[in-house]
Amino acid sequence: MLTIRDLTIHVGNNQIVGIDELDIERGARLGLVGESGSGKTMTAMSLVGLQHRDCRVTGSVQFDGRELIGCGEKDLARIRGSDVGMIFQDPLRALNPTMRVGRQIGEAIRLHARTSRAQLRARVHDLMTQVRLPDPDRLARCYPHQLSGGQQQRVLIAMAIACDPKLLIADEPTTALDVTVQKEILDLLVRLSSEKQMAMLFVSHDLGVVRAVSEQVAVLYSGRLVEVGPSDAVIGDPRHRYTEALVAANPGLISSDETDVLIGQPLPTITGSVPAPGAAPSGCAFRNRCAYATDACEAVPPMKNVDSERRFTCWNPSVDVKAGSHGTR
Amino acid sequence: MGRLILRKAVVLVVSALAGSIVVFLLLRLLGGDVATVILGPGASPEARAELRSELGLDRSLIEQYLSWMGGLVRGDLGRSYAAGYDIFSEIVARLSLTVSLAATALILSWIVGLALGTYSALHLEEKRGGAIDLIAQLGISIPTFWAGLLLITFVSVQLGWLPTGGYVPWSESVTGAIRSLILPVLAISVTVLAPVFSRYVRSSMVEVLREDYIRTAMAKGRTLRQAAVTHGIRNASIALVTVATLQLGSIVTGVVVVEMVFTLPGLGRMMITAVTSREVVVVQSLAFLTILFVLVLHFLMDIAYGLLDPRVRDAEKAGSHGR
Amino acid sequence: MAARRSRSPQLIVGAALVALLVLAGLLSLVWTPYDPAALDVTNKMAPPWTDGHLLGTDQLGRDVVAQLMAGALNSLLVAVLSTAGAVVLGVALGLTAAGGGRFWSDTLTRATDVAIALPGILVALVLATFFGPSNTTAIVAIVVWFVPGAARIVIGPARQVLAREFVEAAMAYGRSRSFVLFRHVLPNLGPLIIVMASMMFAGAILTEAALSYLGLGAQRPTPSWGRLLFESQSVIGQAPSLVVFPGVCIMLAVLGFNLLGDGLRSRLDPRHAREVVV
Repeated sequence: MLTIRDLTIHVGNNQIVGIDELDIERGARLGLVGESGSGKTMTAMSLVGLQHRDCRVTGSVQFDGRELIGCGEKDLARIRGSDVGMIFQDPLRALNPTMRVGRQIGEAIRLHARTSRAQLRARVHDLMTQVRLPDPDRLARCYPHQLSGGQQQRVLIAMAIACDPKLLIADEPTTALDVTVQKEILDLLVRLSSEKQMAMLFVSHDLGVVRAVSEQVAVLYSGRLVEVGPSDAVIGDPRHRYTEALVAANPGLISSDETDVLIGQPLPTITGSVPAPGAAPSGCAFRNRCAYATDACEAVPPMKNVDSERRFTCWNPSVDVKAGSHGTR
Repeated sequence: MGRLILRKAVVLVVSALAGSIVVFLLLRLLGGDVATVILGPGASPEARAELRSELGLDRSLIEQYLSWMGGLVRGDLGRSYAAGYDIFSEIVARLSLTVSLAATALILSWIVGLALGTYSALHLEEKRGGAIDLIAQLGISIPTFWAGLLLITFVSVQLGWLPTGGYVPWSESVTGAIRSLILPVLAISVTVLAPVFSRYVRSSMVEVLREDYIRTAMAKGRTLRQAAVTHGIRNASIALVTVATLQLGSIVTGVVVVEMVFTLPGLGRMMITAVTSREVVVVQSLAFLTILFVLVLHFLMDIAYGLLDPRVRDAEKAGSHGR
Repeated sequence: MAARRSRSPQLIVGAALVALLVLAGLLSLVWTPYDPAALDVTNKMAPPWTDGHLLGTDQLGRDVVAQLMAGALNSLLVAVLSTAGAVVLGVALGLTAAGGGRFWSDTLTRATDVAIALPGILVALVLATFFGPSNTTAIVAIVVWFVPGAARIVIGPARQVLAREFVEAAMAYGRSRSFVLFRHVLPNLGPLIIVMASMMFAGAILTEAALSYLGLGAQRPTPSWGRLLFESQSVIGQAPSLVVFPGVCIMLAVLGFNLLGDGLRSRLDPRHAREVVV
């Protein structure tokens, strides 16, 4: 349903993102993972023309057979909110502080459908119930700052699903929330996506959250896809050395028998940070932070297919972790 | 909201009282003998003594202040020494002109400032945005009275479209009143308020356009331009309220100047006439009235702030619960 | 850095206009095409280019160019004195407010906020009531009018500088508060003060013109642009050019200082100068 081919994003002369190929099937959930600065949010925004003004986007993004790159501002606006819904990281900032919540949800409906006032009110009420907001009639008259963080994010979700979109782009939707609230929001998103057959692009820096939400995961480093595949396979058995390091830095992901080994040892971290735009090394962008880098890594690694669902791009891939030839510790 | 209004009203009354004391003391202590100022240095001691007792200047300062305040409440501020008019009724007669002049200029500039500022914020990088900034810069550099003179020269004298000056009261003819106010309002708006407002709207709109809720609005299906109008203007207006409050002084100046240029019988003209004929008593009441006018506008701005920003209203509630 | 230093047109145009104003004003001290006060009775309200009067004559037959040049000098004089006064007093007040104890700091900050809201023209009117109209009245009025704004612009940045490490170090070293304020804080506010002064100069020229138009500033025989415009109003139908020229001078002078201030600001980048209220 969503087909991305040769998508590049430039700011000035620096290429920030270069994605050769990425697809999302109807009703499927794909997690896009990377550290901050990897270009994941920029990628998600550029799909529907919400990139920053200074960004130049080229390539092809087809949604239901329609080409979105190079399509006019009005046409993009028509697709946003109706076919593609979006939710964002910081729900309080994402809501207009001076407009009542009910009106902000209603706006999402009014922009794409003609409704009477009564219909609109009923539809807003219905949406607020769907996202499990308590006492919809009262909350609809509140201003965003009067709601809790979880409620604010539910309001954003209600706005995003107002027109039953085929795709929901969720940009770090739980990062700003308490851990307990996080879980509720994730459950809500998964439930809505399954019930409505709504595909989801879930952007996050947190592998654990991505695994909980999406069947598929795509790992982004310095604007390039380094590994794509089913979440359980990629996280349980990473091939690219970057994915491996990400998994190792995230103790919650490793199965219990391995956690035992870890106790008493410092948590492994990835040294350094994602290179600034234009400062990435040639060849494999990760090689200056990678413990396994060899001379071969100075050349751009090709995309290798593990099977029909899995691919990665690394010269010195890790082999099956469970097979034991894993050399980090 | 009720609490906010009440608290701001108390502030208004207290600052008005403080203002009246400052004006009173300033005029009594700064210039030495008021009778000498009014009559000139050549007047005989008898004449001065007579005027002093006529104006009540021989009483103590506190007595004088209280009788002035009492007169203000009763509507009796005495008579003008030089022109003989009753000060209070003269003020009342001139009030409607000055207030409609100031209010119209403020509202017009507010609208124009929002429109131009938003437009140039949307076209920040392009020539169009820069052109508006340049026009605003030029407007600020034009003296209000000169703009008035140019308008008279070209619109009134050469084209004969509008009167060169003078005022037809609202009660006499509504169209007449509007016709006599168009050029004065334009002169104030074009040179003082609209350029300042549009520059501030531009910079606050540039900030607002970076806000996440603008992106959310676009995610709902708005274009940037639509999002700026539906979600940006109200938020950018909040910053504008503060700026408008800072501009209250220049509104007063603009009104005074424009009343002189267009020979409008308003309070500004009354003030200038009183100053040139050194009527301390008239100046005192008018100065206080000016301060009161600014304070009332200040009060209205505070209320507008609360109306525009729900967070301010709630902070008010939370604050008073805490006490 | 080299790219950012590229010449800004604002700065160049602004500086050129200011230079022109200063030159014209200074030149009028030694040379004007005619005596500004001399009456050419045969040529009253002559249009431009009449008998050697480049911009014509006014209603009494005085040469317009000569009067404009003399007016430039008057504008400069008033603007220099009032800006200097306002900057010195305002900066001193601002530094005191920023560096003083909590009570002083709060009181002074609050007081400047109130003073900014008051219409500056009142000061001019009250002064003129007692002392009569004159250049001195105008200068004093402008100083009193601008001081609170200047103080308020300085307070915030001064507080920021005071919070920086080297200031704390100097204090720990045993330097007195006033020494630190003048030797450490003041130099750091230099760019801000320069930009502010340029903007205030523009404001002072505008205000002087308005006050002398209202008859509260310079009196004849001192020529002043505002006064010229006031006099031209009575012959507005016969000689529209008399209304145009002095106004253009005021506009260009004010524009010059505003552009100069804007250009300096983007070069020196003290953001707070944007708050100048004139």
